[in-house]
Amino acid sequence: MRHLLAPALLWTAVTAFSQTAPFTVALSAARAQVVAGDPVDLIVVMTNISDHDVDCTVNASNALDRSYTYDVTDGEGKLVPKIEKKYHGGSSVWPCVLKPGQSDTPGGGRISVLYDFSRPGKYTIQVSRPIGGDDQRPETVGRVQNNRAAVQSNAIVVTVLPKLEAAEPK
Amino acid sequence: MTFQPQPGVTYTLNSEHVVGFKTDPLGTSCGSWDNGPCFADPLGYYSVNPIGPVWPQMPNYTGNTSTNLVDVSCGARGGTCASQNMPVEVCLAESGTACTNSFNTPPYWLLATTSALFGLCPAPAIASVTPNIWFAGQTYSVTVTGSGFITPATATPACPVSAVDAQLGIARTAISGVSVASATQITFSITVPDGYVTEAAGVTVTNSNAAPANFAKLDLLGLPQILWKGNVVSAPVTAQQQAVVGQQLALTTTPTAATLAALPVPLTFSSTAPNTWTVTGGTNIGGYTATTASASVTPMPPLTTPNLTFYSVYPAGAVDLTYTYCISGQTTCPAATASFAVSGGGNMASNPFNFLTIDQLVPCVNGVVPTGGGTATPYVAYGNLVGYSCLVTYPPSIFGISFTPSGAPAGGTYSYVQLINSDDPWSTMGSTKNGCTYTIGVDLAYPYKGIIPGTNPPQAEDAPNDSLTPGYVETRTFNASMFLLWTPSGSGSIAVPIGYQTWGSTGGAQQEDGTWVASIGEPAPGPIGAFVQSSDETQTGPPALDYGYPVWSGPATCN
Repeated sequence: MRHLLAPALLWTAVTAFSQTAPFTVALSAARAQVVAGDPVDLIVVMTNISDHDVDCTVNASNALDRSYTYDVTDGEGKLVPKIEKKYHGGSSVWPCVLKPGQSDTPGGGRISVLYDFSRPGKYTIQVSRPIGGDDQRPETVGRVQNNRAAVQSNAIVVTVLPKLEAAEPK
Repeated sequence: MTFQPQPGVTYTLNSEHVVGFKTDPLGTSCGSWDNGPCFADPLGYYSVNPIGPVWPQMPNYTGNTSTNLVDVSCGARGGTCASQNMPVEVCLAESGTACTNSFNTPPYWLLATTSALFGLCPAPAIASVTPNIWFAGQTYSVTVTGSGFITPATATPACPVSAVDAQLGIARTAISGVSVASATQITFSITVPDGYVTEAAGVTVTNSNAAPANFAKLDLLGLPQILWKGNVVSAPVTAQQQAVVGQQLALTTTPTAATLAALPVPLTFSSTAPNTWTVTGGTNIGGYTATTASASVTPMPPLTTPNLTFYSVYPAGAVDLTYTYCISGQTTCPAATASFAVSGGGNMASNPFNFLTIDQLVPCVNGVVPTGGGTATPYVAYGNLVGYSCLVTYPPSIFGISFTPSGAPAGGTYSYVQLINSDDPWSTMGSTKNGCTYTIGVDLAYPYKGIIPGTNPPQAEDAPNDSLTPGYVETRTFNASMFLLWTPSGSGSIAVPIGYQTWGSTGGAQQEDGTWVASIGEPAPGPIGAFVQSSDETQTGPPALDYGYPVWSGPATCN
């Protein structure tokens, strides 16, 4: 009986969360189709749908906003491993506040600095942004932690074409 | 004498008189064009229908398939008669709300004549008018050919010499040197004044008041008009137009191809001498397109189309334009001029911190503030940061450098873009050196996202930082240019560059007796050089400029 209840409880929790998410995250690709070796750039727009200010701090490091969690899977649904780097890289942290109803300027960045898109195929990308304290209210993120819920973006597919195929006229 | 016909009564005219219908009541003057009618018509005889059966036939306006009847208030133009709301003007062509070609109903209509006094004259018929394309500002010797023209030699009291009349737009225009040389040819001279738009013109030949006149339509090609936001901005408008940098200057012109095709003698623009614009003064472009992926300037579009849309990037006392169009088969090419004064400008002040500091920040885990607080670790930062590695608290954090805009015209919006010119970080421990190879580009995104919350106008900031690893010596040479852009309000406006400030942060940190110590290199953290006011400058950079605009081909990376 416990096994039957667990999915129902999870469904209830997700539903409740989706009704109270303070912001939305919209994801698109600068180019939905690239040639292997070309960069893959994402455009992420965060919109405050709550009735209060929402924190939208940007953590810019090597052309990518690390305030978001990026999930990349290949055509087989397998997680694409991150690129290992010896140098950790610097960053700039830019405080940001969204008023109710306001959308941030386009962010996101170059996802291909973090994931390897060199193999041709279709990649599914989704980003998420954790909800901080007091429903992401500014200055509360560090003080109060919610249950680590995150707002998921829509999922997009980026197609990586082989270099040779792209060079040949069709 | 005044004659008042009565219903149901037949009147016979026996004496050498004419019974006319004077449309204006005696002693009054109506306000219509050419003292046209503005009167009561109790018998319902009045008609301006060219094919109406009641009154003498109207002149034959060849090619007209429809007319608009215009009521003119009797009070217009100083009229004194009582208004009866009678139509007085037959409008043949309209442009917007204005009638551009019309004729007025005669103020005097014949009811009856005696043949002795008003015997029928031959009806004139115009076969051709040469030339039949008249340009404004030009003088022409015109030849009218046809039949039924009455010369001085053939004229009689009842049928005097044929009268010739030229009509430009809604006005009759003076002609000179009229010569009815024969029954088939009339010549005269006409100077077409400036100020007419392109429309139909006409020549009328009339043989006395008893015979129908004959009318031939031809083309009047006026000076072109340059229009901006629906208003004519070319001569005779002499006032210089006021614009701001980045404002869309979407100019249209007349005549259009459709206008020319609809003329009595259909015309087309010349294919060998295309319409041309000349633009002098100012720095002018076709547009500026910027995304994180790239930014580029579109040069001025081809200056060979009737319409022109462009932007002036920097303030200019005068951006002068000349538009010329040519007609196929014609050598005269009319031109129009317009002038714009373009205002704008602005400034950007930088507020540097000038130091690198060792800050204790709580590292975030996968970009998220750790649950339970976490433990602070050292970072070297340009500025003085408080909080987490992914979330600084402002205030009390102090940014390495901030930027404040000022001076742009009211009503626009400031924005920023930062180009990273170089970024050379190293973590060194003995012979182990970890670093990256940078590519120049835009800093994360366009527009720049490092805007200090709550500032209006928006202030930009940056405070690059690096985490410190025990045992390693951290160094970083960072160089960037922060551009201030301004976008005027209004549809179609684009961002224009105001200027940029190059700045850098050179230095690092190393442990001395277990304590992290920050060190500053050359050049010291802060502005490098003075604020550069943007101008029409193109350079490969860094920073890369085109017409003074920042340009890039993607975000800066360090891999």
